[in-house]
Amino acid sequence: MSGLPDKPTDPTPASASAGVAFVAVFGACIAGSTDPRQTAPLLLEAIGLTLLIGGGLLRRRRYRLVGSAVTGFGFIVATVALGASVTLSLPLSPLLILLASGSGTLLVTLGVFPVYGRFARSFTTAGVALVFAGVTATALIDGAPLWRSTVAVTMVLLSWDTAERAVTLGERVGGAAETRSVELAGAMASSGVALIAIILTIAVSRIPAIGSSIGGLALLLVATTTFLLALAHFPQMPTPRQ
Amino acid sequence: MTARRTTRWNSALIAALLTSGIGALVADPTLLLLSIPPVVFAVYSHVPASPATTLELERSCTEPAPSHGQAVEVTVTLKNAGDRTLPNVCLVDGVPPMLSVTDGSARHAAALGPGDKTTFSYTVTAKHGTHRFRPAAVVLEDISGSVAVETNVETETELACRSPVRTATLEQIAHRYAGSTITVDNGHGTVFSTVRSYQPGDPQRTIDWNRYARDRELTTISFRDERSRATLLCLDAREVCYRSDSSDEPHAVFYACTVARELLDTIATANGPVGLAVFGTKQRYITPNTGAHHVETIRQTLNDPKLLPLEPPNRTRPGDTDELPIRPLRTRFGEASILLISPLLDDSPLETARTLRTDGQPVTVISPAVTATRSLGTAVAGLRRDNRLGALRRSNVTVIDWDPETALETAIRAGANR
Amino acid sequence: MSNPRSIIRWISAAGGILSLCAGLAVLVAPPIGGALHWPWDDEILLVAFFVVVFVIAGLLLPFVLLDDSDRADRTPPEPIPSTPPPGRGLEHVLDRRWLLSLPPARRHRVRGGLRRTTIRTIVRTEGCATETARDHLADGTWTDDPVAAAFVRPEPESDGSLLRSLRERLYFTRRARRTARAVLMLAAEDARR
Repeated sequence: MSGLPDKPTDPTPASASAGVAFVAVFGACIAGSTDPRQTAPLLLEAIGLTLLIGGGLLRRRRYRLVGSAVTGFGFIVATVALGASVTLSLPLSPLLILLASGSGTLLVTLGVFPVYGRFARSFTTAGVALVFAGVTATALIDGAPLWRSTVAVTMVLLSWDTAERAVTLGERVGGAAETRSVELAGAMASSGVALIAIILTIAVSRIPAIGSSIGGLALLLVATTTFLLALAHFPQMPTPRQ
Repeated sequence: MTARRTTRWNSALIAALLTSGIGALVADPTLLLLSIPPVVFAVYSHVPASPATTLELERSCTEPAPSHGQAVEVTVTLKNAGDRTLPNVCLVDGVPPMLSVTDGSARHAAALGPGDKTTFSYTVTAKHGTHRFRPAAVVLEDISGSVAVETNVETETELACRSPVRTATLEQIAHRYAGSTITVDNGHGTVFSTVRSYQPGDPQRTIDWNRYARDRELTTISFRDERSRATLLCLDAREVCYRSDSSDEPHAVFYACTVARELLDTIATANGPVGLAVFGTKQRYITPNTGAHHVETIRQTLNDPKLLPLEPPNRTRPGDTDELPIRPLRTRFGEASILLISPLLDDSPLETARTLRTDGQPVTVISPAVTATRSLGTAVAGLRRDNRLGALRRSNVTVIDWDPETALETAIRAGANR
Repeated sequence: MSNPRSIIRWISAAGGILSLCAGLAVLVAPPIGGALHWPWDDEILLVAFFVVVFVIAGLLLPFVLLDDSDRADRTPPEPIPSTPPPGRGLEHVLDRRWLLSLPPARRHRVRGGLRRTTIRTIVRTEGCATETARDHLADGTWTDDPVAAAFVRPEPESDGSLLRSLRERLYFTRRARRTARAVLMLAAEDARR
């Protein structure tokens, strides 16, 4: 029989990866926002979330009362910042985008720095999906510059990868175990891939369009679909190996 | 060892599909281009090679033979003996089931280059008994986390928290109300028995020729056979015995096995015949005998996880009789001294011991105390056990009440001298 | 390559490369593009592509949400496998803080168990015969607590009246608790002697 035993007593997500995920998701929101009225509430929310994270760390170091107070205060600051953005007289679509990004960031933070132990993975998945929706909507509706949208989308993917790693490590070995080398190796590899993704996207955008044949476009779309199918991972039964 | 592909990176593909699909629908080239980063991440998930299971494990304990309650630090070293980097190794050490981790973590994660080692430590609190570490469970992942290889890494480690019985004799423990030998007066033995006048028909070899030469009187010498009384270790391992006084203490069946192992060593040292009867979810009988091979068979039976599982078995179905059987003890082992090892948490062992004692069979009950006093309910359970111990003593059954916080030998001496 | 998934993957990748090359060729060499005749409206292509990728995304989504777990059915190594303390069942009756209504069969079992325990404790502490202990139980002289004495006294449970049955049901736990305390006190006094 193989496979790890059930969850550890303290399945807190790995802290370094959680930190990277938080920075990346917040970076994605900032890169994806085009209006200062979007950026300001996000910055305020980030301050609140930083307090929330700090409070969590204090609670783990046995300053339970102070930690809980700081966590609560941080949460209030973050939600008030997000709620107050409604008063900034933003048009509906940027407001919705801001709310999606802001609440996504909040969910990701609550997922990787959990106040309540359960639902870490659900929170991060939902949060990343909201931020992704926000940054792509900004690119689509607000016409954000390509480089900003590319950086935002890439950072969303980076935050998702690191958040997944944090949650998985937490579930496998727990918050008390030493995990830094795994987190560092994974974060460095993912950051490298993210950099390649940004460079490649911007490079492709610079290729001048030669023709405008609909047949050519159709073939390119077919190529895209088949490539994506080739890259899909399908579930499989574990195979015994020697 | 098993390997499987995870499906986590399909998230990136879904992102790529949605951006390119919506981009095509609304004819927005920016959105089409934004499908490139997820595609790059999806490609990345296919690039790294599957990790190789080239791990070696070393495990050491600060004290391999600790005393009960002593803190023991376990140090685990994991080495990548292969020539490829293992970027994500998650390990959960196989802590013996009856030991709890009191400090540190028995789990560890590391990235290991070729030849690299990683070391971690944790502390367990020793409990009576021999504790074997299980294989460490390992999950290896490639750098992208798209392939997970699950395997076990094994190294033999044992923590022997012994409570040996050195000074108490087998007579004190098992044969208190009967001799340690059984006499069979069949006239053909090797031990001198009686001398009587010759009677016609007595075999010539039984005549005392020396006496005849001296006194001219024909006498016949009679011999008898004497053999050591066998000891039968009876283990009460029914579902009702899987009880412990607190959540970080082993249950009574584990302690009963520990007692059986210690007594087995004592009996084997005295070269007495010893047998085994296990009454658990399954029953097993080993007829008393002597010899190293026989003792080893009993020892292995006591270590059999199917016969004596460390984890509590499922509850018996309502209506199933969960009584200790008396008949085999009476019929098959009628001449043996019975050492009944039971926590006495119900009346069945009490009735069995009293019935056997009434039949004249020597019975000793060794009872690991696992009752708690944390509440009224558990205190009443403790009182009931005390009453059973009292009832056994009144029935001339030797009773050894063993509190696992003390040495077994102390309890045996106290019980034998009572 | 013998794995069907690998075969599908390679066929898809080969198809993708061919389509990509052809598409680029069409875009690079406009005459080839002009020769290709697209029979439908341009937008149908884009809508069809959207529908196809949306369906594929929908098919992949469950695989993400229901990712295989690497968790085997093994208990965690840190704690000792949990086993209850002796008397857990009785604890549920005697140590419950809120009002508990037990079915008659359970009440009968609990009362019978406490009665046996009391008799055995009297036998052990006083060194008397079981019959004598039963007599003590019957006349209630084993304890100063009248509630406990009444609880284990061998007498008809109920005269069948509804009020009495209700009283019995409501006060059962409290009376059982008093009895348990009384019998424990009896044993403790003996231990002190």
